[in-house]
Amino acid sequence: MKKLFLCTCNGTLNKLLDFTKIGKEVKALYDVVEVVDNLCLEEGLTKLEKGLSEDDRLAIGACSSQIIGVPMKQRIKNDLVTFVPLREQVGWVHVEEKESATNKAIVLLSDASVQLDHMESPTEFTESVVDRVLVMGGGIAGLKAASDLHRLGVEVTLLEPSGQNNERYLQTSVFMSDTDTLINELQAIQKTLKKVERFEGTFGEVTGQTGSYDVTLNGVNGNEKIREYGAIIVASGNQQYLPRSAKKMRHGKSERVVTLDSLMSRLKKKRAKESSTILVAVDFDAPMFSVEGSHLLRSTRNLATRGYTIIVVHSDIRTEDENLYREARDSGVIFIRGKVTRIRENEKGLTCRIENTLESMEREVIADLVAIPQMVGPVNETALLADKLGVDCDNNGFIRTRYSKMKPVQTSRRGIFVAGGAKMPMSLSDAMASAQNAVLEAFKVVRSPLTRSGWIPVIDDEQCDVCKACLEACPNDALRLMDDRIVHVPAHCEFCGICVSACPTRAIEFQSHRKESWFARFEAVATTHRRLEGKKPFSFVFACSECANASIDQAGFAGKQYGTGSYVIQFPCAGMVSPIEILKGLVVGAEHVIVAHCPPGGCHHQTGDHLSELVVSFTRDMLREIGQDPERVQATYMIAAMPEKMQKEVPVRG
Amino acid sequence: MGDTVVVVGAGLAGIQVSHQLADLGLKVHLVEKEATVGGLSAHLGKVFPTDDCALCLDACEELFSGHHRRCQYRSLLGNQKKLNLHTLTEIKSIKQDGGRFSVSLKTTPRYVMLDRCVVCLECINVCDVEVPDEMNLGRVMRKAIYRSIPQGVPLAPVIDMNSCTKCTKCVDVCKVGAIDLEQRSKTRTIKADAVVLATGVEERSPSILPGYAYGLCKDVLTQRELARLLDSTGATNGKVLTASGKQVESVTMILCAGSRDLNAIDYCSQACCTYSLKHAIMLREQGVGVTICYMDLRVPLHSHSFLERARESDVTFVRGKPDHVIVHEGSPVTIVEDTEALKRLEIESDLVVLASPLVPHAAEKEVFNSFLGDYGFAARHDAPKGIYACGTATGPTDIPASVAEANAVALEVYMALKGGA
Ligand code: SF4
Ligand code: SF4
Ligand code: SF4
Ligand code: SF4
Ligand code: SF4
Repeated sequence: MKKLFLCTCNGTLNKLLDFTKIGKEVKALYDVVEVVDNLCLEEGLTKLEKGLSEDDRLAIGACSSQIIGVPMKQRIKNDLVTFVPLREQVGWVHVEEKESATNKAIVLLSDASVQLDHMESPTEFTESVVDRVLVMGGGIAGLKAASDLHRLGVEVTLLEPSGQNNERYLQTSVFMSDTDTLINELQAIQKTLKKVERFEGTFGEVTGQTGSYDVTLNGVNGNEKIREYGAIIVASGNQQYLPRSAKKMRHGKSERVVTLDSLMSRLKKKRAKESSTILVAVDFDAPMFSVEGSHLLRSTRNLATRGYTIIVVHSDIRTEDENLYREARDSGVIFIRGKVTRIRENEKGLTCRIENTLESMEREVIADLVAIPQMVGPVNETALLADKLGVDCDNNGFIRTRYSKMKPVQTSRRGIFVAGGAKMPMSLSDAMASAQNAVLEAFKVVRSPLTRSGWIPVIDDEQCDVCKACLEACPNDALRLMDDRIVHVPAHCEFCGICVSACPTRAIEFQSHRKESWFARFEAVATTHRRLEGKKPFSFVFACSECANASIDQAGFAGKQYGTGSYVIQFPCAGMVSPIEILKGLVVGAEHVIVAHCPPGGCHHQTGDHLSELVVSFTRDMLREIGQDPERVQATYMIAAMPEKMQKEVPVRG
Repeated sequence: MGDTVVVVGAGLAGIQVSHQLADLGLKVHLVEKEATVGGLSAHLGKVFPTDDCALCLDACEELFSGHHRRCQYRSLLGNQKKLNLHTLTEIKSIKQDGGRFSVSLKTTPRYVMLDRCVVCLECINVCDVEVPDEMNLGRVMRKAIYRSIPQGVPLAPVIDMNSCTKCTKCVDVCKVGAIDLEQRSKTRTIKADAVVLATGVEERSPSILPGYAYGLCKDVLTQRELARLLDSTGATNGKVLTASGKQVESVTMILCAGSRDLNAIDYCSQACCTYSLKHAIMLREQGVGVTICYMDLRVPLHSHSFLERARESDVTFVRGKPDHVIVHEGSPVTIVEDTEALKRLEIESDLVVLASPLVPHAAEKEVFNSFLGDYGFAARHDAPKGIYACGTATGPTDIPASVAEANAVALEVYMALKGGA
């Protein structure tokens, strides 16, 4: 049976909305309509449980699904449930318009009824996982990751490049901390790795999915192994390179121009003989990572305390440790803001011209040596490695994570994590923390079987031309080509539906969100709206169920009022919206269709914000071509911190 | 080994570490002294590096398969089986007791019962008592029963007993009986196996630096206060007005106001440069002129786009740290030595905004003293054994670093209590 439970929310919602009228209007659409006062409390939930049998389809007209959805689904077994946020998205935002708000509630409840008719049970699946992790090492974070995993009782393979030894680790990590700390840490970790399997070489093919990746390991002595891993941690580390300006600084031409690190190792612990002047020329144009800044300050301080006269010519210096700056200054390092524009060599030494671009002042300094701080980048192999693993890199060649604010180690591919310098240059303590983050995530993957439940895309092989557009579009590598068929990998799927809008032949339909269901729903909205509101114009807001829906809920909490002819339709992700849905919205009579997505670059499914903008601009072009007003279709982002967005976007009409 | 962890402070780091620990199967008590969670971020609206909401949380594995981030209001914090959230609760003492800790908590009353309130907000509608709203610089009024921000979690309102007249109007409309005006404070002691300090930072009040006219002139604000004005859920719908209600046309920002200065606080608060830039961009979007006086611009690389955007949107940059701010005909005037042009400038503007240093919350409380180091910040690793710290409690950082540190500490705690050999 199809049942509707309406909640008055402590006897308040029925003051904002006419519950008697609602009851009368929707009676024909549901087999049972029940009104309760406090659905979210124990007594309300008990009533709900009692009034329900397992195969009922259920609509809830109450507060936002975002608040009540998950807890309620934990309580009741029914999986065919839809939520109509009568409080946040109707009552609270139309307080001055009781009649129209009531009509809007009826429209949305009619839509819910049609939605329930088309709803399918979510697909559930469980997959076993391999309790073993591969650490692709090279950087010091890889050692830490292997060590922690081993302590957690997870089987680990530490893959290291050929010839990797402590010396190499030290050399490539020199910028991360002072040398003594680095050596101590390195020795301490190495000790814990005695029982860890280490493999010297590279890797070839990686196939499979999170929980079970098959990796080909190619050993230095030609041995090849294929092993299965539940998760992979990339910790390939860093290498240092010369900045672009080095050539201009006569590096390679003059023996007196050297890198700061080679100078440091050449001078080891030596004190300055006579007062020798070293000019440190920082590349003016390249932005500096704070670890590079700290390393620069540590090295120059070190030299200055040994009696050298140190002049650092620089733009902005970043460091995470303010004391380093002070110590460098206190030990006599001279800082000059500017750019070294020319170096000339004669018997006296090196004459360096320094230009302060902002003051347009120039001066000359004579130095015995010029030292060039090296920059820190990912190891050369990172790009190749990323390519083989199918994860994304940023402009500097570092491996990109999913969401810079809160997903510190998650790459674009599930079950593959990045630790340490492969993500960006890090101080020793940050690299250790990064390794711990990767271990935590990998541990969560391998520790128990993967169980998920959700609506998934279903591919119709008859309709599919194998054009692979969906494969390209899926941000999670959840669609693959196997024996000339597109196959869905549920373990990677995030249930976003982006593949649906990517398919040119609509060979993919998303469960419960099929084309027919959208059409029927839009028609139900339009007819009910017309029956109740006559000629008053209306609009659709196709909102993603993450940020956009949150913004619309928050409009309610913040009391931001907007017009009533606005029907919010939830999509799992705005990237699922295709021109078909937009045009259908217009065809049934909507004045506007607004596609609301997450903030730029902030889509929960990685690309939906961008894709929905593309789809909208494409649809607008189509409208323009057939002589229709393209302004009727808009795309915008909405977030909870901007609850005024609905107010701004929804045209107040009628 | 036991498996109970007390996390002190429900800011971003505290919530993150609690989610992770609960997902790993440990029992967590998350203790927050305010009525709602969020800490400093609750004041901020939007944040870098992603230019989205400050109140965004990483979703827990248990309820959301860890898949997405969630707004604070839909994170269902406390719905995790193993996570107990205690708001309005202070730590009275932490006693070491064998290998464990006795943590005693004192909860002051909310007067609204969380397990009864359905958040209909009718009580707020009917209350007649109005007092200035501290969350919005006292520029608008709030009721005696109120919610400080729209997203505030727990969602239920709280009664400010100092202003409540006990008229019982709210009690009468609350048909579900969620309000108890006679609620009492409660104390309880929790036996814990580890304690995580995630006590966070707050902006230090600049009133101790008399040179900046803070307190003297109502149009000298801190960056946090500016964030409240810019927040579209705030008093002025995001419009920036002077204290007298005039539309602001020009703003001067003073970075490192009272930090990186041996006479005040000598560390760098790390995040100020970037959030000042973020605010500068938001102000430029409203057509407000912005001048930023700085010593160095320390913007982490992942937030570099903010610097570029600020430059593109014609923010004026002056290198130099203003000595003082004087008040001329009611408006603040910033006196600064431009160290690049070698000129002394007097900048008139409608508002002066100070990037005040971020100082540790924990330092206020004696209970934590023995766990704190320099400046009142805590060490991240377990010294003494069983006490951990993460987030800005260990020193000012930005959100990505806090989150990463919280995750790292979660793993450390787990390994210490459960983790293998
Ligand atoms: S695009 Fe989204 S719904 Fe489609 S397969 Fe990929 S993750 Fe799943
Ligand atoms: S986009 Fe559609 S037609 Fe192309 S391969 Fe995928 S399912 Fe087939
Ligand atoms: S970015 Fe904002 S709207 Fe989106 S999930 Fe996070 S808090 Fe919510
Ligand atoms: S305390 Fe009562 S009246 Fe107030 S919001 Fe909660 S349920 Fe509503
Ligand atoms: S009892 Fe207090 S909080 Fe409640 S309505 Fe009266 S004054 Fe307001």
